[in-house]
Amino acid sequence: MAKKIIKSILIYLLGIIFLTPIIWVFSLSLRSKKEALSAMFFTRELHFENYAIAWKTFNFNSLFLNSIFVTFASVLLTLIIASLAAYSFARLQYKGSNIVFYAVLLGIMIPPAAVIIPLFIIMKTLGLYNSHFSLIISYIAFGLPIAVLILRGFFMSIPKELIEAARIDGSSELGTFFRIMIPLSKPAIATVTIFLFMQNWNEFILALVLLKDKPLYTLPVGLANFVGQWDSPWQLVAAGVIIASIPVFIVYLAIQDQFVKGLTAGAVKG
Amino acid sequence: MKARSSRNISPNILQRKINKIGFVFTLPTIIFFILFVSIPVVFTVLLAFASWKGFDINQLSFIGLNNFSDVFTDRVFLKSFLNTVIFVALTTITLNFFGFIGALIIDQKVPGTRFLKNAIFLPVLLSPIIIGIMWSRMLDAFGIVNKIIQAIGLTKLPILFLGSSDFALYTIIIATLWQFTGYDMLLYYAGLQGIPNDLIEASRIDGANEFRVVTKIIIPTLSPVITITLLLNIIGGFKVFDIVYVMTAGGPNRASEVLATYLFQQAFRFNNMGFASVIALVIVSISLVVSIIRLRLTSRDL
Repeated sequence: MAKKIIKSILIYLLGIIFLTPIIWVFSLSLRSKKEALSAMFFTRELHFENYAIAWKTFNFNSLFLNSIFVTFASVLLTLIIASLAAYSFARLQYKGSNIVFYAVLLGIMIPPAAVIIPLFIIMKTLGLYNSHFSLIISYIAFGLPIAVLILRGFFMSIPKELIEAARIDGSSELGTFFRIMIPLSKPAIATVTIFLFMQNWNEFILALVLLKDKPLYTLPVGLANFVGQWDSPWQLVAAGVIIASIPVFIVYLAIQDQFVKGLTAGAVKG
Repeated sequence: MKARSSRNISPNILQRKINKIGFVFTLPTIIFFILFVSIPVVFTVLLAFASWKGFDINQLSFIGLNNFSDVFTDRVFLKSFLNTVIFVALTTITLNFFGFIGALIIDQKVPGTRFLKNAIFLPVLLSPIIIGIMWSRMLDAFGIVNKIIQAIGLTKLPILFLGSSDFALYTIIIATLWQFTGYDMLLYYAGLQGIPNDLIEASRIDGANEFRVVTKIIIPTLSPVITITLLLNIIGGFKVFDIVYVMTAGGPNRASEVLATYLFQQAFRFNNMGFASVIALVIVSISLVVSIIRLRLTSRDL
């Protein structure tokens, strides 16, 4: 029993040590300008107004709106396009559809950084450079392979007889897809959604290269930009870091188990 | 009505109709894949053999293998390649080690393990940009690390971790370790849940101590998970960009330059599109080789 208590105390201690960087940045975000450099941890006065100032200084309104728009649009479109293809690869196979499937899978192996130059040129040629569309399109292209892979695997586990029965009842393929496959596939769709959400919400190099104007910046590029300026007051940068972290924490705490499943989806499958 | 019409079609025509719809369903994916993945890859290969500043396509000229000889004899490229290999090797080994230990700790039935699991997993949720900013703050002259070092009297003057060519790369490695230990930990934790309890209990009854249980039973059973986690860390490591860009931008004096940051600089600061494309091909080739190994080892369920 005593051994268990000591173990438990050590485990809590380890957790707190691990969280020290976050706690320290939180303490930094509440300091005055002077104490930002001199103090070690929390100071007697807590300057919560730093958060309001940071929100305005770094223009979080626009950073959040841009990130939300780009992430939601790209995740939603990827889900629609990928689930249609996955259904076809699983149950409507045509001549050569397996070859197409394996070709698309190759996309998992291509890191965005490796094709960033042609993407930049293609977006410029299409007139999409420096717009959110260039990001949404790229995120769809890089999200599709893994989404198709996971959804196809799940669709294949749904009995064929269900689809055939619907067909005999005269349901169109699109009708079967929306009325039978999608409702049955909620767990897989949730997994893919979380995986894509995290990937696109945090994506940096494409956003850095494809966006030029500050009002279009997504969160990661905006954050990287405001530390680039050496005169940025550190207590405000720290407040900005906390502000930017909170939404994902909240989503995680709300749906922990699904979140872990979504994040590790890339590892378990493929 | 509908039901009858579909029953009247002969099976052959129905099958052909399904094939056609099947193709239509995959068409958007095919278009995206060709336009924004296939063409860019081919374009990168072509650019690797060309000299181009990236503005006017008419000024593009093919120069054979010149870019390749330039890149492979470039001192900075070799340095960034070596740095990337060091980064991959050290992060992969330490992430797996600490991830595995972490999984063993949180797998015990002791109060506090859920808290520890969440604490270690928290940084995985954040973007590497945020991690980079946090650690840059903690490690600079006025950060907590230097305050502690000075308080216990290790040094009088603050150590400039990110400003020193001896420390910069290793500092980034430590920040990365802090961020992703939780990821590996959860993969191993999931693996541990799959080991039957009887197996471990039986060996304990046979007199095996904890160390023997881990080395003789847990590690051999988890070997597929170990393989996947190692390969995932290797693939992720070769692509590293965000955290280096935000913490040091490859400096000081190239001490922490990695492949992706050097590619970015050559392409978008110096407009050497051909030179940068060779670096891109190096990254793709490594990524392909490791991914193919991974697919061969894990593709049973495909």
